Order: sequence, then C-alpha cells, then structure tokens
Amino acid sequence: MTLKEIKALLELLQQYGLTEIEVEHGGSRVRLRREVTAPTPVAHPSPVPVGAPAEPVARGAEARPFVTVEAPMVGTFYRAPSPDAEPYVREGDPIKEGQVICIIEAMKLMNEVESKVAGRVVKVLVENSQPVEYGQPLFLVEPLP
Amino acid sequence: MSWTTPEDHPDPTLARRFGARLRGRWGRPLYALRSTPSTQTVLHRLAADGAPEGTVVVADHQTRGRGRYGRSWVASPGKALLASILLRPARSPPRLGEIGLAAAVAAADALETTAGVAVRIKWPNDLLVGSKKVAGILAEAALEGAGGGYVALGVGINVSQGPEEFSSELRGRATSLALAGGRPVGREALLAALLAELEARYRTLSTEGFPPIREAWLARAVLGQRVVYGGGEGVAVDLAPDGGLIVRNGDGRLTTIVSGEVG
Repeated sequence: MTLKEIKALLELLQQYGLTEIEVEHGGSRVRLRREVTAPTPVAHPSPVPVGAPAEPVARGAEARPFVTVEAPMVGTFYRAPSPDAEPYVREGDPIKEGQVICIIEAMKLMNEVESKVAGRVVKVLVENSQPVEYGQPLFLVEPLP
Repeated sequence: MSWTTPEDHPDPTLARRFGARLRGRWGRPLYALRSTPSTQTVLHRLAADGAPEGTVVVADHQTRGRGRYGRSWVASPGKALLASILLRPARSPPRLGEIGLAAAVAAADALETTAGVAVRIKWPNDLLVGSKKVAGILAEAALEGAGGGYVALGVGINVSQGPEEFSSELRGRATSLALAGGRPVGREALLAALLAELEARYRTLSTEGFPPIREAWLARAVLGQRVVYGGGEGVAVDLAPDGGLIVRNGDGRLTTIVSGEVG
C-alpha cells in the first residue's frame, strides 16, 4: 500500500469521525487508529452506518473492516461507460455482488470491474480517467451481511 | 431470455447470406440484424445467456454504434461491415490486451486479401490505408459476468462508402475499402475472411503465445506519431513484449504505456 493510499484512508477516518479503520488488500493489511479524547462531534448524519462512538471507551469496538476493490490490470480508470454517462456508482450507493462498478481500459480493451461483495461504497479512491496500477485500490466498500 | 429487444430487427435472409460464405468454426451460430442499437449490446446479451465462443452478431445498420469510451461510430446502412465476435479466453486480465492486437493483425490480413489494399496498424488496433482509418476494433471484457467470462470483440470496417458519405471533417482521416482499393468489395466475403483469420491468430496466441503476434503486428506498424498519455507525452517507437506501446519522451527516456492517444 502506498503512502498516498494511506493518506486517503486517514482522510476517511476524519471525514466520517471514525476512530479506527482496517483494510486488507493484495496480501497486505493496514490498521489505522486515531486517538479521540472527547466524543467526536458529528455535524451531520454520516451516510455510513459506522458512526463515531459516543464515548471514548467504545473506541474501536464498533469499527468494521472495510474492503477494497482493486484494479485487475494496469490501465485507465473510468467511472462511467462514456464521458457524458452517469457513473456506475457514487459514494454512499449500495452495491450488489457482481455489479459492474467501473471500467479499466488498456489497449482499447474495456474491462468491466465487478464488486466481489455486497455492501456500500464508502469512498471512490481514484479520479475518473486516471491511470491505475495493477492491484491499486479503487473503491473502499463497507461489506454488508 | 430473448436475444433481441424491440429496437433490434433480426433479418434471416441476411443471416443466410453471411452464413453461406463461412469456412471455419467461427460464425456458428451467426445472428444477423437489419438494424440494431449496437452489435456489441446484442452480443453481451447472448454471452450472458451462455453463447459459445465464436458466436457472431452482424448488422446492416447500427443506431448507437460506439467506439472507444463512448465515441460514436456512424455508417450508412449496408455500407460498413459491423460485426461482434464472442471469445471466451482462458487468460488473466493483464494479458487480455494481446487479443486486441491479434485481432488487428487478423483484420489487416483479411482486408488485404479481400480488397487488395495495403493495410497498416496504428497502436493498438486501428487499421489504416495510407494515413486514413478504414477500420476500428473495440474489445469489451466481462470476466466475471453471468454466463461465464468473455470478451466481446467489436469490429467496424468501412467497406463501400463513397467520398460524400464522410463528413468534411472525417474525409481527410477516414476512407473505405472501395475508395482505397478502387474496386467493389463484398461484405460477405470480407466477414468470412475476417473470421477465418481471427480464428487462426487466436489459436496462435493460445498455442505459441504473444511473440509471433507481436512480430506480425510490427511488420505492419505505423510508428513515430506523437502520443499523449496519463503521465505525459512523447513519440511512439516500439511495441513492448506485453503489447504496450513504448514511447520516447522529450528527455529521451523510454516509457511503456497501455493507454493513451496516438496521433
């Protein structure tokens, strides 16, 4: 996992008022924990059902591990089938297992990438039409049972 | 599940005409339409329903034909060969791009033997006569899709358009086989040649790997163009062993890219 990706995860922690996040991908595993001395104020309801714990004592107990959807190949990341089309998914959207969530283009081969889990898109980690590396995390997904 | 929607107009006569010329295994079954939004869309439906490798969809006219990343592909009815071919390759995603390059080589051979024109390839798989584009290939992969993983290979070839059928903007950059070769070309013979060549190159790819395809591709390659890609720009100099394009940047450094705009 690159420094850039870890920074993205740190931003997520703060954005959603989380105290802990654990992500596993491509054989590596990262756990980030944020010390919160007072209850984290949440200005507006979080779209993700992993709210900040009400009391410091509950820290970490409610953190669910998120999973990443990774690039199956080197190429260009597209969030929609064409420039003027709606993106396949947006942050906060529920997704089904097997649902197409983006395209990676390489050598004019448009490769549909499907989610392997059912859940909710927490964060889109790559900008549209950016180059991606093999195994690079593209989406952060909260799996739902 | 039906393979058509109300927007698709199957044409059994057209299917018989195309089917009668086939000489290999591919094109069985063959589905033909007078008009459809896109042969790719029809093929995706058939693939999800479990259609076998070598299934072909061909149409006289597309109302929403598409090229790479949503670019439209427009042709008058009956003037272009519009076909989609179903492949079920046992390959890992990083090597799927090789199929598009093999398809370019196969299509170039088919165009040359059928129309008598010299065809060159612009990375990764645009086919040119002189400096004008005569055909394009678009591959769409759904490796974990319903009905088993597959690649839908879409081929669009300008066959019998006259100069008036290209917009003034396109005229300098596009041509048809009839215009370039100066003689009429039958779409049925062209599809038969295309499928036979594709089947042969695809078999080479699975038995011998990419090196012989790379050699054949390089023998027809147009290189030296300006290339714009995610990390910068440069000049196309060679084909990498994995099918990527080797680009020389302004500072002389070489980079291999898999995605970019070749001028």
